Amino acid sequence: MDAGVLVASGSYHLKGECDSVIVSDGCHYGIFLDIDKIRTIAQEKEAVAHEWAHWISGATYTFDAPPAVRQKAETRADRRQIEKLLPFDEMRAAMQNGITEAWELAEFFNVSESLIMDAVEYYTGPCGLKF
Amino acid sequence: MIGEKLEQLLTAKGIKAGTLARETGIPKSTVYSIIKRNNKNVAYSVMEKISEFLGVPVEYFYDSDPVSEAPATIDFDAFTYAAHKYSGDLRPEDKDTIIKMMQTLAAANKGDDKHGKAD
Repeated sequence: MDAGVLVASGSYHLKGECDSVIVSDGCHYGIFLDIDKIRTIAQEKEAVAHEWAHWISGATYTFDAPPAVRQKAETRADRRQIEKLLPFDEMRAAMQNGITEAWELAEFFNVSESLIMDAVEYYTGPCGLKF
Repeated sequence: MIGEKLEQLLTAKGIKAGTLARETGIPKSTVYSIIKRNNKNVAYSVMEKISEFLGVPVEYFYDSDPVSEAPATIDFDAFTYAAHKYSGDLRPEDKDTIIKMMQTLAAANKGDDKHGKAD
């Protein structure tokens, strides 16, 4: 335990592609990574960053939360995850240096291509920014 | 309480008792005796092997913190969660898994708070 965050890993066999979970009592947080679902360093980094984003933004929900509430928390965490792993200024600088393809950016930042695409969509959409 | 702590740790790490026995060279019967009968007379050297394999200090098992009381005292309504890439409502088995995660966190906090390290 450090600063109220417990990090553990194991085989949890959760549904589908679910590779990580965060639980909280409002004060302490526990991040649980499913070692059977996480196959690359990039994926592990993204999962940890995503759960970190839930922690830092306090975006968790109760068992009986309606889908809309869960979706809001996930969207908030997705955005904080992108801002953490792919800061806009760093992405723009990389692009200005010729790293323009999604796969190139994914290799440069050591994340998945899908996260690169999500970041581009987020920065150019809701944020209204231009690369 | 050694058995309950061991079982809880194995669950949290997703490791089967048989795997623990095989990887540590400890007889299965000994491992099951610790877990099922909460055998307190297990040799310290055995617990050292288990601790090394599970990556926890051996003191974890001898700490007097009432870890096993966590499930009984835990208030699930006080907990929240978030599951990455999980769409739709939780399956009952997944809810159970997340409850175990909450129990693990609650148990960890008991020890942490006792030692004054909680934030």
